[in-house]
Amino acid sequence: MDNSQILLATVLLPLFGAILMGPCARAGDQVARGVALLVTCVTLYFASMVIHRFPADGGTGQAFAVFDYAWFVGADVAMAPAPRIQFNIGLDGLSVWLFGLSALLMVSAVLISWTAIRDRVGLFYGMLLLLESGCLGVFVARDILLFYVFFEFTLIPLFFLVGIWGSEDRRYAAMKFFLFTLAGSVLTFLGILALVLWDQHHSGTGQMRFMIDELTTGLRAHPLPPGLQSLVFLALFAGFAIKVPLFPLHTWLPLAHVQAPTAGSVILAGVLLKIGTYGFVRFSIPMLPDASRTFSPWMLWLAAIGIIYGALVALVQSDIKRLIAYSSVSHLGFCMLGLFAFNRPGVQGGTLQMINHGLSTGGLFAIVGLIYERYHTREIRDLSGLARRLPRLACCMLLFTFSSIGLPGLNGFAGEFLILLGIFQRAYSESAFAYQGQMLAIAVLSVSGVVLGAWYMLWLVQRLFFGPLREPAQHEPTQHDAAAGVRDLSPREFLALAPLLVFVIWIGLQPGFFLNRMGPTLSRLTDAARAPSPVVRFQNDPTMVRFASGQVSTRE
Amino acid sequence: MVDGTTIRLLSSEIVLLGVLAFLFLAGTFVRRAHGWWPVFTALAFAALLAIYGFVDRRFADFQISDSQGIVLNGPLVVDLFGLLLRQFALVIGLLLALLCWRRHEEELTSERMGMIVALVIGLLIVARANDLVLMFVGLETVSIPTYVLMFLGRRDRGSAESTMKYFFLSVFSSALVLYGFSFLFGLGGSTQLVGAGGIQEGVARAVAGSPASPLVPLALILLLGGLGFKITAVPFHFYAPDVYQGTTNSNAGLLSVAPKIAGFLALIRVYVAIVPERYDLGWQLPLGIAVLTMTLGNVCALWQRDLRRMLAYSSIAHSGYMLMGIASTVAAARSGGIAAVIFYLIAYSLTSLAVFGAFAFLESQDRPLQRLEDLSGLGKSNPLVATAIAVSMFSFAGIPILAGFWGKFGLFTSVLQAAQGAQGNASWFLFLAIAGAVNAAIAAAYYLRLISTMYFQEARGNLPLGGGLGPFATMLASTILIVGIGLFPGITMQRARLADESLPQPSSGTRMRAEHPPAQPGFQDLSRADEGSR
Repeated sequence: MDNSQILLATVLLPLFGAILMGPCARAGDQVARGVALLVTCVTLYFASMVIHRFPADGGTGQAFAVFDYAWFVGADVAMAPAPRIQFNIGLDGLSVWLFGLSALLMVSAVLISWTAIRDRVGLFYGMLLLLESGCLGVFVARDILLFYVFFEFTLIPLFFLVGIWGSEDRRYAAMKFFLFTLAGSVLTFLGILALVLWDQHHSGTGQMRFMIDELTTGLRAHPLPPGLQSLVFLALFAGFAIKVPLFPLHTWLPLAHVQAPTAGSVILAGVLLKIGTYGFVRFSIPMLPDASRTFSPWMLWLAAIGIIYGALVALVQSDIKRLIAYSSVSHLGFCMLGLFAFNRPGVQGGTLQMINHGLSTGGLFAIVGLIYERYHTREIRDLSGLARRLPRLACCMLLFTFSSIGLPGLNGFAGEFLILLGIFQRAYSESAFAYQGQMLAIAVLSVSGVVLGAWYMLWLVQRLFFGPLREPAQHEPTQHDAAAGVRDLSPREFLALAPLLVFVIWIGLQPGFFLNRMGPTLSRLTDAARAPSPVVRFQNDPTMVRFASGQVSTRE
Repeated sequence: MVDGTTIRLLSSEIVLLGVLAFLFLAGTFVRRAHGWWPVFTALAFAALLAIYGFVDRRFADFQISDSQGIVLNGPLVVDLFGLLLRQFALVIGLLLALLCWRRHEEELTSERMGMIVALVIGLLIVARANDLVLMFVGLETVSIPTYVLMFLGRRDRGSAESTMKYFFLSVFSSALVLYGFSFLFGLGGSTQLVGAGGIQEGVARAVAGSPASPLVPLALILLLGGLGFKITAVPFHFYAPDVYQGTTNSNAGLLSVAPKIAGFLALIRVYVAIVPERYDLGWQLPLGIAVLTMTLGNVCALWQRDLRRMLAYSSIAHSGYMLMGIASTVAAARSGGIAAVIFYLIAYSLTSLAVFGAFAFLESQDRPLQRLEDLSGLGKSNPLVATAIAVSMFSFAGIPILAGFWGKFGLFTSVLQAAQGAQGNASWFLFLAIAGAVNAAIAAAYYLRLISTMYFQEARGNLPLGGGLGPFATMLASTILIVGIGLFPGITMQRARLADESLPQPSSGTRMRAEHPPAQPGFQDLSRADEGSR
């Protein structure tokens, strides 16, 4: 099979697996689990095959392994040209690792749900596989409408995952999650349509083009006027910022995380939140570079506030899952900070941090799930000194914690370092004089977020795993271990965590391996927004404006 | 003038009239085999559809085709719009015949089926009428069987009340339509809508003259008022919740589909055809009504605990969405608004039939399905029906990858096209688009509540599942169609676009459409319609 066919198989396989879950559920729960595991493993194998063949230097930044099928191409009628919507998928530097991350996390999600889910097992794994298909599809879609279709489609399985298998308040959480995201994404939909129609009316061909690449090129050649550009930026912002979630639109996230089953939390934190940041890099920044520049101080402020706010709220949480949910708000703030710095270190760091956050927070949520399975509580004050009882679990937890707080040598460090480098570079050398002060303030504030992050995470580990052993008295012994009390990590659980740990260490030791594959694409996407706007910089000096723009054009 | 061509054009109506007569006559003699009448009716629709669709569609409409692709044969207009909507009316007839098949009701089955046939004849006429009188006859041929259907075999007070309410208000709306028609007659001096010496020209003259005739706004308002009853547009929506609540599930399904199709067809055939472009009131009225209708429908639906009442408000909201397309097409004819309305109408009707088919299947004669809570736990107790309802709800909410999503895609696109096409009024259409988007999000709340009741709540006892095969088949077929159209929207979308293009051109000459004369839709367009399925 050539690459594009493998890519197609990767996206469609979970879908078929989901359909297979119907008969499998009848054959028994164990069969459903086994088939789901098999499907996710084969998907992961296919995904890694494509990623393995991805050019090591990122190629030219163009898409790799493109599969194209004219999904919805009508003949033109005299009145108006037909929309051409294509089922066009491919990988590029931005999507390649997110794609791999989705496939990887799904295997872990299947493994950690093995004994935690006992009710309607077939349906559960069916929904999980549907979700996998949606996640993989979002990242590989090269047609803007196809992206939107997958983007919205991911809502349905997660809605059911939270609503059926969640905790006490699951109904409210599922509804709130769905409605929040939908409210944003319908506005995003309008924004997307506005982009396509603008391109149609100004490209000269009169075609309605939906391919992201063509659209980006087209919108560069004949950009939207500033007012409209800001309006469309805000429309796209509505959907993506809710998904990220950017402060103050984050309120659905802690609720959804706390109520979701473990697998749901892992995927939500690991993959689904990234769709928001991905949307900013894929659409907002390259298609609306001027508006992105105009709004970047606002975005950076929101990101910085999110970093500090998320960290402070995480400090005072008494529920482990809620704490990690708020830490996600803080970490995603870092991603946004890097992306909207627009320079190479910032954008690369921001993208790398998406992967890092997926690995570390995915792992942390998985561990919280494992603790909950053992003690049926998520209250921090009920637990203490668990390292004596669960040494291997504690070890994994510690590694994920260090990754999350950015210990050098682990993946978090590479990402956070690049982001901070990017934002300081932006503050010192790439901002108009008038903005320099506030850029510095943002940069310094976000550094304090790193300190706060270390504080709440290490404090959590200390309270949970060290000190005198304290377990909830009345916890029910599970069936395996009536005598020995609570068991440490089983091989199955270890297998769920180990692949994540491998990548945590790998990215930490060899970030270049990952960054090289992203570089060219990211430059292509964000350079338009980066080119320092001469109008802003030298507003009062027309000769400088000409000079600066000339300089920019020769450098490009 | 009645000649051979007219008879030939009316052949499907005549065939259905024969079926109707047979049902009524044979029904009085054969009292035992009541289960066969719906099958017979459904087969009749299917056969006609097959003739239309495969064997003889050229004979049906396109044998007679002049260079414009449009034939005005006295009161009838022959175009692709009519063809598509007539085919669709037959599909709806087929599904309605199955939906109204009640397993345990021995009496009056043939009469019920006959009424459905009559109603479909009405739809067929409305889809092709180019004459005020014929249009009115068509509209009444849809309305009168509806009254009968609502009353047939029902003796309880709630049903009587809702039937009477519907009857009186519908008669009132017919009077409004007639009043509007009489002004149009006065303006045009003819009952013919489009064509030489027709009302379209008269209206254009009256608008262009100085001082502009005050009759035009009056006629348009009366027209929108009267048809607004049929499509449950605000402020003529208020009967719908009571009537839906009072009647049965299958009747509610019928009410949410048949009058609405008739109303929108009439709006397109009359209102859109006669309003001259650049006549601001022409798009301002539907735009305002659209915003009010969808907002009120969605907001009111949020509080409902009664299933049919909720769906009544939901159907009000959907009319509001479709009016967006009418408004944008009046403002800028090239916006593709009519194509979007047609697509949405198809998606909406099928989704509605799927939901009400499922409801009718779940209930039984003595245990009607009424409250939202009755559905709790359905996801576990009957996964298939629950899936069908969930798919319909997601389609209503416009979630990919179902038919409703592409409907909203078309409508929003047309509104934004109008914003680009209608100079100076762009902000109005931007506002409309944003209002539509916000409404789509509000609407999701109550659709999701229904889904979450089915899946996230424990069952409270079993549902009787007494509806039998007919409603079940309606539900299944409609659900498959929703998913099929969602996966491959191109086929339907392309036909809708061709239908939009084939509509009679406004004679005022200022429409943007006139700048790009259509490339002779006709035979070759049917082959292009097939290309659209790729």
